[in-house]
Amino acid sequence: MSRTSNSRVSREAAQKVLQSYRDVLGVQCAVLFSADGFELASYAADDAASARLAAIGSSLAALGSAISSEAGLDACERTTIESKGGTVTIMRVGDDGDMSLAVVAGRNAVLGQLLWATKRCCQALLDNIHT
Amino acid sequence: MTRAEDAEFKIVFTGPMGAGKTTAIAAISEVEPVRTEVDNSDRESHGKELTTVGFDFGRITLPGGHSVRLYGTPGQARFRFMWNILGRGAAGAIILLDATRADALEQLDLFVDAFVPLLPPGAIVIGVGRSTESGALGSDVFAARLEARGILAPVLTIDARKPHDVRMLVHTLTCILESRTPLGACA
Amino acid sequence: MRTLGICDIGLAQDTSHALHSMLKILDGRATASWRQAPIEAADVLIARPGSRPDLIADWNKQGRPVVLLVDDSSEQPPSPFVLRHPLRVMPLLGVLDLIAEQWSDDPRRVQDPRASWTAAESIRSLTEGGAGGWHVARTPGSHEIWVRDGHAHAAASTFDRLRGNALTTGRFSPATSAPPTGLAHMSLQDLGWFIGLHGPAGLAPWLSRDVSYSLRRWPDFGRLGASPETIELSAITAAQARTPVELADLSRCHADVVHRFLTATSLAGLLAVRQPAAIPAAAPRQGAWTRLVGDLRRHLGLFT
Repeated sequence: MSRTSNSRVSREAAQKVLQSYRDVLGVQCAVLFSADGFELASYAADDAASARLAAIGSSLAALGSAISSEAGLDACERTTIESKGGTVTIMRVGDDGDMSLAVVAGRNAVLGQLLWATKRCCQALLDNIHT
Repeated sequence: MTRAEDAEFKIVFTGPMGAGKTTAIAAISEVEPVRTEVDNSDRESHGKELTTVGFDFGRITLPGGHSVRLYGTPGQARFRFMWNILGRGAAGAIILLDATRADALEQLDLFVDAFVPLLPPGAIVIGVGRSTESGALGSDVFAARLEARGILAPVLTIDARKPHDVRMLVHTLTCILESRTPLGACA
Repeated sequence: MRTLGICDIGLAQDTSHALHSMLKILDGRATASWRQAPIEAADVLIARPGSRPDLIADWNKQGRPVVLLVDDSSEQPPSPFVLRHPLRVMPLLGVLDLIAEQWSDDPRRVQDPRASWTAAESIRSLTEGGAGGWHVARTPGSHEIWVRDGHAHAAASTFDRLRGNALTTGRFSPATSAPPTGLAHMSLQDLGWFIGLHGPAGLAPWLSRDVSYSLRRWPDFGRLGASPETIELSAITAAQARTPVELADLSRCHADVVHRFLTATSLAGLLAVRQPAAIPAAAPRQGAWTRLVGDLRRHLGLFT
């Protein structure tokens, strides 16, 4: 599926940032995606898998925003899906909701480490944005 | 709950991007609809600013007291998993089409293929929008396409912004649900 | 009481006998007194389609009533008087009473017997692709509707009246000129829909109480206008073929509404016919005669 590349992070820069997940325990893959579900960059996921994760991730992110808003809470920062085999965490990159980062981790991941690493990735991605 | 006799049931609005699903639900919902629209980054495919990535949610009450939950799906095929999630357990679907799209008939096929297996037999209504614009296909063309596939379903010319038209689609679907036999479509 | 003569043309011998018996049974019960008569003395003919075409054409031209006895329920001949084989007393009585009631003082002319059906029959002829070229119908209010090649043309206000049930129209006749320019247009099917929906309240002459009808395509209510009744009737007939009586029972609709719906969908080309299981297949003459007699007894039971 073709799309205009109007993301403000270059794919190469983003791929490089995501490579830092190599050093994080339990991370299986990560996908950076646009709000409308297009994959922008990925770590350890093939094209097909990252495309699907991007689409589903965008739906979850949008639903997370919707329920936060419905509940009268402030903007949704993070949506976490917990299952027996591990977790999927979707974190907003920056405040304007253009991009989100989804990270899939197994049970052996340490939640605190994972969140800290993900926040660091998000910040690095923001730093790389060309204005 | 999929039977019309039950107090509450669910209808899905689906169809390609830009056909008016979010608009249609907003036009008739008695409650402020839940919307999950984000910026459309793919302006080449469609010029719309916003696109639904989760689902729309609204509700209406029909004469007779039935409460109907309305769900709008995203239109792009990459959100097909949402079509399955939302279609499951639905009493029926309203497929909205854009008559000016060059691939309008293929879109009809796509959504019929996706939703007919999820739904009770014959429980679909097609709403064709933008029919007054130049280059628009007439409703008969869509009806003929369905007939060629052995499907008998209403194909109604509508404007998704008009509450009357959207209510007509819902009313037609509920009449089908009340009358359908196990044999369903073309007898 | 008026006496009218009926002559049968091209009927099989047992059918002719059955007709004779039925006329005896109806004696005193019908609006007129009916006798079998030779052609020269006949007021009404009853014929199989295709029999004596010149004679029938001549009668049609003079406006003299001809009852057609057809085999196939799916045939919808453009004639006001149609009976379906096998001949039955009650439908025969219905047709004969209708002819008698419309009888004017001019014995050779039955007052346009289905005057109210004229426009509908006209649409059917046009749809069946008869003569080409322009046809036009003029209404009492001097509105005109022009038809050619499956399309109808008229002033926008005329179509508005048509849609709003504020227009009655008559027969479409070949036009000697072309229509004015700048007219609005709609398809012939849509024209048929409105004419049928706003026409007479009875069951259309080419439709039958014994036949099950189903929808072959839904009306586009967005384009034609929707009512809860037409939507409901569409849903019922789309799901399963139904006779007019079944339709009235199943829906919450009055028989008039059902009949108009059937006429409208028929004229719009949206109605399909299902052969009812009850129609007997062709059988040896003896068997057919026995069955006719049996039918007579059954109908007498209803009659008295």
